[in-house]
Order: sequence, then structure tokens, then C-alpha cells
Amino acid sequence: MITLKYFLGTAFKSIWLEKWINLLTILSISIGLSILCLFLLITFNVESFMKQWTSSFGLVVYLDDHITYEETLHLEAQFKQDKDVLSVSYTSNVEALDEIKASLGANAVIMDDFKENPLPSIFELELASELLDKNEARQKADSIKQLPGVNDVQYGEKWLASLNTISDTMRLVAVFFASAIFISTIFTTYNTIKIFFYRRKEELKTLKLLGATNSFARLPFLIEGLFVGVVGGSVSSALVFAFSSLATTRIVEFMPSLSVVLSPLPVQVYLIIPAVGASMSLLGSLFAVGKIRY
Amino acid sequence: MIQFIDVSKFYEDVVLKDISFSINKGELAFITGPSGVGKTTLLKLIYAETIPDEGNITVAGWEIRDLKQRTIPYLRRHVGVVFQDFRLLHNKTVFDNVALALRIHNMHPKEIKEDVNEVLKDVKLKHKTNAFPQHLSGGEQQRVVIARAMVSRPTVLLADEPTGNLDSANSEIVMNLFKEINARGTTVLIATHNESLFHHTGRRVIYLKDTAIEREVSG
Repeated sequence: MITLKYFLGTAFKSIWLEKWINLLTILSISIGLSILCLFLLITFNVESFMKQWTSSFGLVVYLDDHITYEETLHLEAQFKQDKDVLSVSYTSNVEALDEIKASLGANAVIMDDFKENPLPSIFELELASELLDKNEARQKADSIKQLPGVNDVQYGEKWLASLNTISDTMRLVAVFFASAIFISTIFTTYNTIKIFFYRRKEELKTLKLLGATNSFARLPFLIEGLFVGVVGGSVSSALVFAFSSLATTRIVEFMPSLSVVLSPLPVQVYLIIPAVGASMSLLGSLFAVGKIRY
Repeated sequence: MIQFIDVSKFYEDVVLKDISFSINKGELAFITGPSGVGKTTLLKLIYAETIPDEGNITVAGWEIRDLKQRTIPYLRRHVGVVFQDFRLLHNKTVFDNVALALRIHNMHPKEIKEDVNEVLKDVKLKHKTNAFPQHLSGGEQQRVVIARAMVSRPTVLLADEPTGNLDSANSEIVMNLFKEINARGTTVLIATHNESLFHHTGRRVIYLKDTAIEREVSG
């Protein structure tokens, strides 16, 4: 505890003495983390947008023309029991024809040319979000197609595939960005602490000759690195929060309909960013100080 | 207290060859010889700044060759060193420079304050407590180094050319300090080429010449 006070004093004295280089390091870290957070914000919003967009995603089950009333009821019961199906809606071929006629308005007479109703009866099934993966959706469609009385099953296969591709690409880019920024943060702190280390080499040598242990000599540098990381991360948190709030307000001003879709990052993220900055900086400082030889 | 048995040290050339001697507990002894004969290397071997290539060294019960990196600091806490180049930290005050030796020991600030003030009184630098080393004369800087070396009450005190940059008046002050430290029971070993320091002192003198001990003169 006594020594900790000395370490903190030494570290903060050095931070003040080397304020410009520390300021630049803090700026570098905060810019790096801010870019990462902005990307996270965009990814988060795209994903949340897609989630809302796909919440109505479902399958359309076309029934055989000659399906009986009992068979239809049996199918409906089967769908309702299925855990993957969130809701079931039935439209008979008669109702479908009426809907088309209503939508055609004055031109509805063209439908009278058909001797028989050309439309099939359908079930519209809303699927659980776990089935938004294209393979899962295809499997589900195939299994429904095997049921007696079902003629065909359709779902937005291509649309779903594109959606999955966008989502996968964004995740991949996020991992790439995160790795690049983590490495650059570690490297930035490594360089700064290494400079301090070399500037105070003589002081360190004296400390060692007086009997200072490895940790006694290294701890002020680690505290310095930790401080730089925490401040860099906090600045980044503040910047991203300000940008997110401002952007959301401005975008909604122009496109009010987007207010349902635009979502801010969870509050925890703003607490995690300084912790991430601190961890990365600490790691960089550890590499920089390394093992002091006697 | 300090024992050398057939110690050799090589850098590019032989620096020390088959050195054997021992310094008893509570003794004040001198090592002398011309510049470059290996006096500083001999002291460095004692506080493990360098390790012998051959032979064994024992300091206050510690076998230097067997020391692990992590145990070296603990040996050094038993050995106070007055460095030839002072090794004072210029961004710290006289008080902080001396206190550093105790902070390493994780001592309480109150005890540090008491001990540092006492030792600064001993070396007659109490009035310079808050001065920075660059504002002190050579003699005063030397006394700060001695204060730093003695404040942790080491078992052994080593001094490398302690009067090298001092006039005769300051040299006498410094030598008297070593005698006082020795009188309190600390083993003192002084490396110097200044013969006037040990003439007529009645202390043991080890003469080095051409990498080896030429002769020992007991007091």
C-alpha cells in the first residue's frame, strides 16, 4: 500500500513530465478505438435493421387443389404444434381470388375469364428467428413439402442468402477491424513506454543497483500504460456516445420512419471500451518493459 | 564477510585472474592499484553487477555464482555502494535520492523521513534536504551518495574512488564518514588509487597489479 502510493506518484509525475507524448498516445488510442466503435455502431444498427426487417419472414405453403377440409385442418394443427412456427395464417383460394379482385378494382372482370379458380389455398407461416439461416430455412421448407396435401413451398431464398452474406461479411470485417485496432493500440503503447523506458534507463539502472526488484522498477511504467489506455478508451467512449446521439437525432429528423430501426449501442459497451483500451495498453507496456536484467 | 577464492573475470582481455582474499566482518580495508587494474570490476563482482567467470565469491553469506536474477536485489540491499559516478537522480531532491534506498525496502514514510533526516544530519547536509543534486558541489554530492549508501544500514559498504573528484578538505570529511560508518559495525571496502587515503591509517590494503593481487599489507 505504501509502495503503491510511491508507484502512483512516480507514474503520474512521469505522465505530467511527458505530457505531450502521452497526449499523442491517448489521441492515437482514442481515434483507433473510436473507429472500431463506429464500425460496431454501424454493424449493430445494420443487424438490428435486418432483424426487424426479417421479423416478418416466413414460408408460403401452397396446397393441392383437391385437398379436403379435414386435411387442411390437420395441416393447420400440425403447423400450430411446430415450435419453429410462430404464427399460422390460412387463406383459402376463394379468399385469395376475392383479394385479387379487390385489388384490381374495375379491372376485376378479367378474372371472370377463368372457368375455374386458378389460385391455390395457402398457409403463411411466420418462422422463428433461429431459422433465418438459409440452410435452416431450406431444410424447413423441404420437410413441409413432404407433408400430404402440400403442393409447393416458397420462401425468399435468394433474399435470405444475400442477407446472410451481408451479415457474415460485416462480422468478418468487424473481426478484421478489431484485430487491426487491437494490434495498433498495443504497438502505440509499446512504442511510448519503450521511449520512456530508454529515457529513464540510467534511473532504472540506479534503482536496480540499489536493490529494487523487477516489479518495483517496472510497475510505474505499467501504471503509466494503464492510465494512457483508460483515458484513451474513455475519450473514445465519449466521442462515440456523442456521435451516436447526434447522428440518431439528425437522421431521424430527416427520415422519421428510421426512428424504429436506429438503435444506440448498449450502455455496457461504453464501459467496456475503456477496459479494452486499458488491457491493450497494459499488454503493450508489458511487452515494452519486458524482463529487466540485473 | 567478503571472500574471494580464485576469482577470474574476463571481458575481451583478462581483467582479474585468480584473485583470493577475504575481508572480515567489521573491517575497513582498501583496494588500490593503478587506473584500469580492475578495482571497479572487483567491486562490481561483490554487488553482482557482473558475475565471475571462474572461482567463488561469498558476500554476507550469499554465493554470488549461485544467485538467481530474482535474488540479486536482496543481496544488494545488504550492500551499500558509493559509486564513482555518484548515480544521483537529477530529477529528485537530496531527500528523495536518499529515501529511494528505503522505499525499495517498502518502509513506512514516517520511518523513511526519520531515517533520512538522521543520515543527512550525519553527513552534514540537513540544510540541503530539498536541493537538487545539480545545485550541490562535488563534495556535497559525494556526501549524498554516502548518505544513500548508509541509510539502509547495510552489512557491507563499498566505495569506488570516493575522493576521486574531491579536494583534500572534502576527502578528509568523506574518509571520516567511512570511519564512523565502520565504527558502527559495517564492513567497509574502499577502492582507490589515492594512496594518501590509507597511508598511516593502520588499515589493511590490497594492492592489485596486472590483473592479480601483488601484495597485501595488513594494518
